[in-house]
Amino acid sequence: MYRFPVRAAAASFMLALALASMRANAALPPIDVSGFGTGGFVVTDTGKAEFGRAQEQTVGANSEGDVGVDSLFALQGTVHLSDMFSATVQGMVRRTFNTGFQLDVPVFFVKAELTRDVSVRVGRIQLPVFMSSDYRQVGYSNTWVRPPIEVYGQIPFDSDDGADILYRKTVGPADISAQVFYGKTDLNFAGAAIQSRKNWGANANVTVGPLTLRVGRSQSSFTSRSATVTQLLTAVNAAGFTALANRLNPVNVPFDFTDFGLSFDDTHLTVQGEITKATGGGFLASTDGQYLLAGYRVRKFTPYAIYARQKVTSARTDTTIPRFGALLPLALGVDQLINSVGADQHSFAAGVRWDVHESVDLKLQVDRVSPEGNGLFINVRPGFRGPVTVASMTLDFVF
Amino acid sequence: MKRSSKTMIAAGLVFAAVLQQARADVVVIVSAQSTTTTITASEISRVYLGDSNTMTPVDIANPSRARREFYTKVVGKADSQVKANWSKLVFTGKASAPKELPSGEDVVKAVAADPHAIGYVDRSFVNMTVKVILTVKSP
Repeated sequence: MYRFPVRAAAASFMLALALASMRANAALPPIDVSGFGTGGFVVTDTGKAEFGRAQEQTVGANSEGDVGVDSLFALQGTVHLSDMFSATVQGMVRRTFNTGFQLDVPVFFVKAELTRDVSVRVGRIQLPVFMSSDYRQVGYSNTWVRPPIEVYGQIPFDSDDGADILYRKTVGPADISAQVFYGKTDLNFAGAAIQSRKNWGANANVTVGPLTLRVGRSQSSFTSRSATVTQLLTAVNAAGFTALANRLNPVNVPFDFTDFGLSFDDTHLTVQGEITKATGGGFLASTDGQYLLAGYRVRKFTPYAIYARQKVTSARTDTTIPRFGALLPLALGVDQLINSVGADQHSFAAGVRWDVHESVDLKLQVDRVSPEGNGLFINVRPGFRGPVTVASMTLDFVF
Repeated sequence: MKRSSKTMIAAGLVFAAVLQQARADVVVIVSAQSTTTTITASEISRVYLGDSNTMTPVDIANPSRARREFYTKVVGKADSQVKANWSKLVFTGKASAPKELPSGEDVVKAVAADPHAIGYVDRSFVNMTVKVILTVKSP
């Protein structure tokens, strides 16, 4: 287990239960149990690269087909300790950072509802950077099969260990919600450890009728430890390019993120779009992302289309090291490093959501993905060329 | 001839009354202690979709004619949209989905006890402990 989440979550859950049982009447507090899941199958038309749902997946789908990209199952329990306090734990089985499925605890927190409008949560929460961050794994809550990786892949992690303040208020025709958060994220996977520190940010959402507008801003301090990067930078330093080695050193690198979102959800028409800007320091690439989804609900069927795009806005090559002789491999190594996060890629998708039954939907989606070079594909083999066609089928449920 | 038409009228009236009973208005209620006196259908809809937190919504468990009528005419969204919306809030722990109570009587009891609560029931369940703030007209 990577983040030791299960033990910590279990401990906080037991603590919550213990606190609850200390109440005078000793009756068990009310517990809500709910869950969601997706069963999915994805197949592409290439055997030379793999298509993943998110940056943290190290195995994806190719022409042989794969069930691990979208399939997941989550169970959530909330214990209502008192009118003010509650504790929530969510356990999820999915594929992240690994070839197989594993249990992960993406959410566990204690919440205090200070007033009807203000609550504070302490623990692990979903990193609230995108419009659909909070429910990106809940297939049933979304029109699409999965969030477009061109945008949702701009940040390679989705949880935050810390605290947040939630504010909700209805003012005339407008329903307002706002959130401020602070925390950190630790990730460990094969060959590298990532620490995101001083994660902080804020977002505000305003809903008037079917229309919701959102703005979000966050920043963090990013550290990545991997043997290959250390080796490369040691060589760069030894070759006399000390300033470059220091500039690329992946320790406490600033990372800023800005997000504008729009959604419109009426009886028939459903539209959702976001414009994002990620600005990285050091070796981290800066990227712009955009997507737009439009769908039209006719009774139980919602045909939809999506366009998504990621564009790298920082330099793709570094010219500090001369590109000849013995220095060439070093220069190419540096280029590889500064291209390790982010890529130019766009995709068109068309699909249909069918609400088969209460709380169950079935989706079919075909993506035409056009990467520049390797784009956001993983496990790329020599001779890979886009565009790639990706066909997906998922069954989503909530209970 | 005269008698049979009278009988038919009487039978018709009885039938209409039965129909009336079966199709009693669904009403939206709040606690008698609630400060809310008027509310628009759109405001109620926002509460039941989880967009607005001004009130705490209470549901009747399916299958229920009152529920079907209320969601069709007041909320105006498909079941899947309502469920998808609440799932967004529930799986982030931001809010809890409306409590589902087995009967209209239970809804009246729950609404009466909480000045923030809002519910819907057949008019026949209404008593002194709650007040009607909106009537959903039967067809």
